[in-house]
Amino acid sequence: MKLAIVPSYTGNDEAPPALHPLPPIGEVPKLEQWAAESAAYGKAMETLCEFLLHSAKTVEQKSQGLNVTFLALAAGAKSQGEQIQKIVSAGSELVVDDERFSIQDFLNVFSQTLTNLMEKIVFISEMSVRMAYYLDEATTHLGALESFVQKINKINKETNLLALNATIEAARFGEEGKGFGVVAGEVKSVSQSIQTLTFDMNSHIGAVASSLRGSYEVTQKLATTDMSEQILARERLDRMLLGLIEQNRHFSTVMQGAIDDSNKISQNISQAVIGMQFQDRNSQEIGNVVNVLRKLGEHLNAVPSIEEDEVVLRRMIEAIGGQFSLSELRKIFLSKMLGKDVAKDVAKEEGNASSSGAKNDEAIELF
Amino acid sequence: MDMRINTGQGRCEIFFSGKFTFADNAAFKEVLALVENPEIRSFVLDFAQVEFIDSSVLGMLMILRNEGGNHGQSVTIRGAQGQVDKVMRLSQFDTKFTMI
Repeated sequence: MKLAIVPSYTGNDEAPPALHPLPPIGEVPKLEQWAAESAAYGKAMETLCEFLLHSAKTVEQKSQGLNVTFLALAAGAKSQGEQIQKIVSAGSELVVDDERFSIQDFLNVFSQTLTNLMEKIVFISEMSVRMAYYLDEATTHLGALESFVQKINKINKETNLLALNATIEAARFGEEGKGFGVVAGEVKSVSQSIQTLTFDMNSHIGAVASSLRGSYEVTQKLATTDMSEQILARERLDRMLLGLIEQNRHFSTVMQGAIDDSNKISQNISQAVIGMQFQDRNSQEIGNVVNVLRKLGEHLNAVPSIEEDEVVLRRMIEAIGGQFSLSELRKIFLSKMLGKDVAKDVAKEEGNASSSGAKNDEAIELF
Repeated sequence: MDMRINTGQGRCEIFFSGKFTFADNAAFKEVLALVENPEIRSFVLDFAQVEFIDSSVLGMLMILRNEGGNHGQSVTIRGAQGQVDKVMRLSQFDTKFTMI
């Protein structure tokens, strides 16, 4: 019986050749041929099943790895949400001397303080103008006092002169004028007392005038201090405060959005974790298929081979290997089936093939 | 500042113009003196032509209000605008006087 001899896979990227060329019309493949080929597939079956189980295991391991990563992500998202919540709380409240104040409280205290200040400014203005008016009056009366004292002085001088004249007249009348002379002397002494008094009055009036001038200067300074600019500043402060409140409200809205986003992330991660559980089913399904394939392998191995030609068997195994497009997988398959040394020879032969073909192989594997 | 006084039917209208500051306090004393006139029952202070007041003017107006109050006379402030209106409103004069 002649078996079809199959060339080794050359490594170019055409579709791998069929195990045997298509029979010309009319020829029917012999049962013996088919049996020999089935035996080769039977021998390869266990290796193929190992490959399947290995894939399933890889999926399981990678899934577990992803699971761990997702749990870490979920923890991160939760922590982020908590941090943002803290910022929102801190932003809407102040703690001063163990007392909590909201931004609204601050606005109220601030506003009330400014209103009280305005009241006091108006009050001080009123009082300083009243004081200015009183000092004006006092200055006028003082002026009057000063002129009265001058008049008293003048009258006193005249009185003194009269007393002098009287003394002279009295002296002229000698003994009869003595009494008159005494009276004149008394008048003179009274006049001197009045002069001392007016002198004292003058010095006191001078002191009062000086104090009054001092008070008037101070009052002027007080009353001319214009606080209208400070009053107008209130308007600007009020506007800034409202801006602060608006900004705070906007800030809270944005932060709340960020918290909502964090929560969505957590939910999506939970979904992903649930989705990952497919791998369990996947393992089971593959396990099921492998069981059936092993049975198929047993079935194919049960076919008795008419000839077990080593060379022919090797060539058939190589042909099956040629159906792998991943060169790594092909190498592992061949080394399991034929032994490591034999696989090396096959690889050498493949290495003699065109280099561009080999490169395409690598490209696929990288993907 | 310049001052123009119109009295009639128990009402005393005073028109102020220009810049009104503490320097005008002597002139304002004339207005205060009118409080003693029993025929006057109300004061209308027109500020439409006043471009600026300093804080002492607030004091002067408060004196008029208090003295007028003692004599049963009302005080109305009319036509305040610009800086004058701002200063008066920020000092809550709209609660202390009738402002029109």
